[in-house]
Amino acid sequence: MSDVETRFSEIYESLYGRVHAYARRRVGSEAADEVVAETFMVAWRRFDAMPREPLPWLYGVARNVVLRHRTAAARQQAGRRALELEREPTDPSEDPELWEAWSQLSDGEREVLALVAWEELRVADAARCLGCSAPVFSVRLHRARKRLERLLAGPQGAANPISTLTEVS
Amino acid sequence: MTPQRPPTLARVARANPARADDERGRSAAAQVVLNQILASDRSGGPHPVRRRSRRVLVLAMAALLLAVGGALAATDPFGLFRSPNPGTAIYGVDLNRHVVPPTVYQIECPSTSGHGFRCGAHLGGRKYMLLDHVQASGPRLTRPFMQRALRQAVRRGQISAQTGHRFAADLAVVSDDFLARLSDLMRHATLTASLTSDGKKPLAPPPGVPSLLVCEPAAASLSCQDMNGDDHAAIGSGIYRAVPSADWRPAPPQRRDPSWQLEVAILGHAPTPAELRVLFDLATPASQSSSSGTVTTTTAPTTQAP
Repeated sequence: MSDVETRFSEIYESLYGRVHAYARRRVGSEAADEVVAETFMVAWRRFDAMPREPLPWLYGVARNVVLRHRTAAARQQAGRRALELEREPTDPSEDPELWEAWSQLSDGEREVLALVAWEELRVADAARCLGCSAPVFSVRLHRARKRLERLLAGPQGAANPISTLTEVS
Repeated sequence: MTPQRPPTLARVARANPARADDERGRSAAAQVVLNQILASDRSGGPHPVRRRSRRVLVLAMAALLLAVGGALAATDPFGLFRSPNPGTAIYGVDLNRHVVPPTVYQIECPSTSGHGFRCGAHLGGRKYMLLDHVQASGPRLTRPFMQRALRQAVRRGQISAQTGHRFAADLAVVSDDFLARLSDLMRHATLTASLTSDGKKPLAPPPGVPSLLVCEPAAASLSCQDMNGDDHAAIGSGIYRAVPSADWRPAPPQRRDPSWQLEVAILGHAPTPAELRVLFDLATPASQSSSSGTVTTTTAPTTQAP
């Protein structure tokens, strides 16, 4: 195995799970394998362009693959809400208020929140993934978070349940 | 990650519907994909495939149709539109059908017989790998198109002015019906995949198991059929190559494709001299271009036509 193949294999094995989780949250379990395979195929072909910190870059590639996948799925299955983030059947009853509010966010709002909360990217890395500057991403994140808070608070902006939650490091 | 998140983000994080499994990349399934990726060409498509030029096939098929009529292609009583060799498919592109290109990298087919059998990512059965997608063979070879292409070829220096004049003269004496048949024949091509398990000895699947499939999206899965002999492959369809398994055996010696037999048997008598000249005119510029290429190369008609 060449040095390039060895390096690629190491990256593949260490980050496969992260990219798979990213894909699973966006296209569901069925299509996640496919998205991940295509993402790493692109990564292999563009290995020379892969930055030293590859994860945000891989998320960016995966995002493009997901978008293409959704476009294809939307064409194939007219009427189905292909752009909706898929919720896995692991904990559908857990925090239903959050999911209700989540479903009312735009795709863009969900994406910035997911990159930070689920992909655990720093603002600079998440911004790189979306192809925007860190300040722009920060603004988007702030707006998305505020919108989610408003949705969670309900139409009257009454008792905000999230205020009682403990912080998560 | 910031050390302390706003409560909203913390709540979203706790509701994470799919947590990452860091060991997943070492699973058997992931390793299969890794091996397939590493086996592929970093600059393009997978290694073990080559697409032949359409040129020889076009010549042979054109001669065949001129000799015995276009109806033969539809019925194919002699099996002339199928390759006898494992790993090779003769197929025709249906220029009127476009499908969304499937992207599933590896599929499984519980059954591989008949037309439109179902394959998908986790259905069990024979395994196939995505190689390429069916590409349009190009615009129809109408007389105005060919005359325009001739002028362009001369202008770009691809052929000399003298050759251009000769080609134009040849073109002027063949009928529109001949050009229409020829245009239809340009839909056809051959695809050859090298089928090996260890990169050395060619293998063949058991009888009845296609080595190359053409697949279209169908609901949540793919609708596939043997690519060899398929005369109506939709543009965008996925081309899948069989993954060798334990029941594969050494491939028999290669036999001549029907196109070669036809070329030898028929080229001498059926077409008129003028039609033959046009066929060879068409082939001449194609031999100077890159009409035969790798999996990802589109065989553009503009490189085949003068």
